[in-house]
Amino acid sequence: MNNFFVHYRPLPPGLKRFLLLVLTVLVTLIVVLGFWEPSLQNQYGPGRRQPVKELSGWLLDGPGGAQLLVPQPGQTTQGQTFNRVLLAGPGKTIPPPAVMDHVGDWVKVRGSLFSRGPLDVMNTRKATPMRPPLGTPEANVVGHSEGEFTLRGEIVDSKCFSGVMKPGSGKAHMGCAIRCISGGVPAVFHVRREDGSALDFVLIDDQNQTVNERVLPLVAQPLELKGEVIRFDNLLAIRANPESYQPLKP
Amino acid sequence: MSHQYVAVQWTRRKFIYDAILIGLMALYLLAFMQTSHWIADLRGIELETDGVAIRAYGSAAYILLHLTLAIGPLSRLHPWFHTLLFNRRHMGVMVFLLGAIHVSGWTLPSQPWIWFGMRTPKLPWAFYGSVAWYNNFGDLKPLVSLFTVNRHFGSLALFPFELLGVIGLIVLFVMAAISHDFWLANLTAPVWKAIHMSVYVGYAALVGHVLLGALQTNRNPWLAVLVLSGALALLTLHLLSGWREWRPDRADLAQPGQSWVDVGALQDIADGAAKVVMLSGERVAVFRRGGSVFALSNVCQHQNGPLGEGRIVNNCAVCPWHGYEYELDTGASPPPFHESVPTFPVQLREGRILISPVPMAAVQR
Repeated sequence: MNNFFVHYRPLPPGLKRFLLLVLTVLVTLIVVLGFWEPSLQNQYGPGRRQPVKELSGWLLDGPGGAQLLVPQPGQTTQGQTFNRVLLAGPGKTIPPPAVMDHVGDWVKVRGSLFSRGPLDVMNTRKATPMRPPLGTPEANVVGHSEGEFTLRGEIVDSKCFSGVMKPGSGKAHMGCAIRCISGGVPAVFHVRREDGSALDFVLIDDQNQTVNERVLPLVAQPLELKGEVIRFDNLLAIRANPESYQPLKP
Repeated sequence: MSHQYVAVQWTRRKFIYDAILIGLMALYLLAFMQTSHWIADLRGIELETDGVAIRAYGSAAYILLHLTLAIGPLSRLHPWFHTLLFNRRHMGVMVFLLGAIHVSGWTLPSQPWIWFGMRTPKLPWAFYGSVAWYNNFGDLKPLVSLFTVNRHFGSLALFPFELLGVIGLIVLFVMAAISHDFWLANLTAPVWKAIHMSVYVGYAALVGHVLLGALQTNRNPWLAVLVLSGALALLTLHLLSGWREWRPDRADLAQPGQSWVDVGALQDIADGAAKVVMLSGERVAVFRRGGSVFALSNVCQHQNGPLGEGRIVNNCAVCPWHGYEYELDTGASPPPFHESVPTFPVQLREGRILISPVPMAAVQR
């Protein structure tokens, strides 16, 4: 009787200790969960969003989508002449005409650069054509075949995977990846090797064309691909028809 | 009580309740986001702050939903938990708000500026919610994308868990939208309560949303363990409180055709309190005040609270949930209020309480 509670009447003294105990339990629970839960979440990734940069190079449309070929000074580990930066537009789109109208030109572009391992992607709205510096090598548009391989991995969009989003892959990222790839962002096949390292391959068909619209139903799920791996400077591509992609059991 | 409609009938205790509630949620959000930054710094890797905020608000809503749903059975198991029950609706509304922020981010406050073509003020805590972050900025409207982007309904590993979250949020919205007593009075308590029972449909959808999200996305099994533990704890609490209700409900004291039913001795009831008995399928609250007894329907007209778990205050039976009052002899609320509950004829014979199972009409004022 003494502890009967009605909220518009004075609090019975016997209940104060109980409420303090409840509050202590709740604060402890909230603090424990608040500090513990982030470590359980898959919200970290090696991708990096770099400050806005200005880059100059050859602007090409392919393989797999628009890219900028930035000359590599000095000796490089792979002996490559260029570093290839994939290009995307604002949001989940292909670069706008103000960029794509200058395919084949030496251009200057400005934008946010996202990097994950050897994969670089730039978000840009405009390309300014320039005269190429003296002695600039020509772009290798054919690439170098590394042979036929069977790869297991998942299709991701190169842009968010490279730094906009964490983890940028897996089922939770399916919606975003499909929107990006549907919007023209280069589709990449992400392969995780047994030693924990990863390789990323730009997807092209046997005509060296982009496959974006054709792979949408297969994005962010385990797949097996058989095809020819081709190296374009630092960029790896796998040439295979999307009809031959084999879904694996998740 | 409800002689007029006001936005919220504030009392000092409601302010304290809400302040603690908001403080706890702010503490959780702060701890979650700051810890995320610390972990990223320790590992030397970058964090994506919109995703962190989406997870922080979503998990805050989910945790608070568990606390909200636990209070009901806890208060049936021990009356001290009524101190948490009386303002539980504000908890429910906050669960919806946290869930809505999880979905829409803090972009809604900028909408009025956008409508009038003005520059949007930059809020320091602004972020894109899950719908915009994962589905906007592309070649489809975000909501169209949300509902069409994943059609793997036949696969558990690829099932669009986002859609379960949509179901949960819709249920939470309905709860929050009709939480005010205006809707309670106009829909009537049974209808209002029946609608609010759909919170368990919403909860089931949200368990699926969070569990599938955890299993499909996270490699750490502890998240799934936490989700299942929460669901198991709630289920246990509800079964325990249900068992406690079910047992006395089975013991219907009235026989067919019986005009007076012996429900026990006067001295078995504490002065100022009540015992609840089952008569012809209806729970009756038998209150004792000194040497007198009064029998009222156990169902409070406000939210159908258990009137018999209340006490006598100022010659009125007071509901333990929200303090609704009913005069002992008439069952009517004191003026200017107009709720009333049916009463039952009572006799005292040699210390035994006899009650007629046929109720008298509720007094209308």
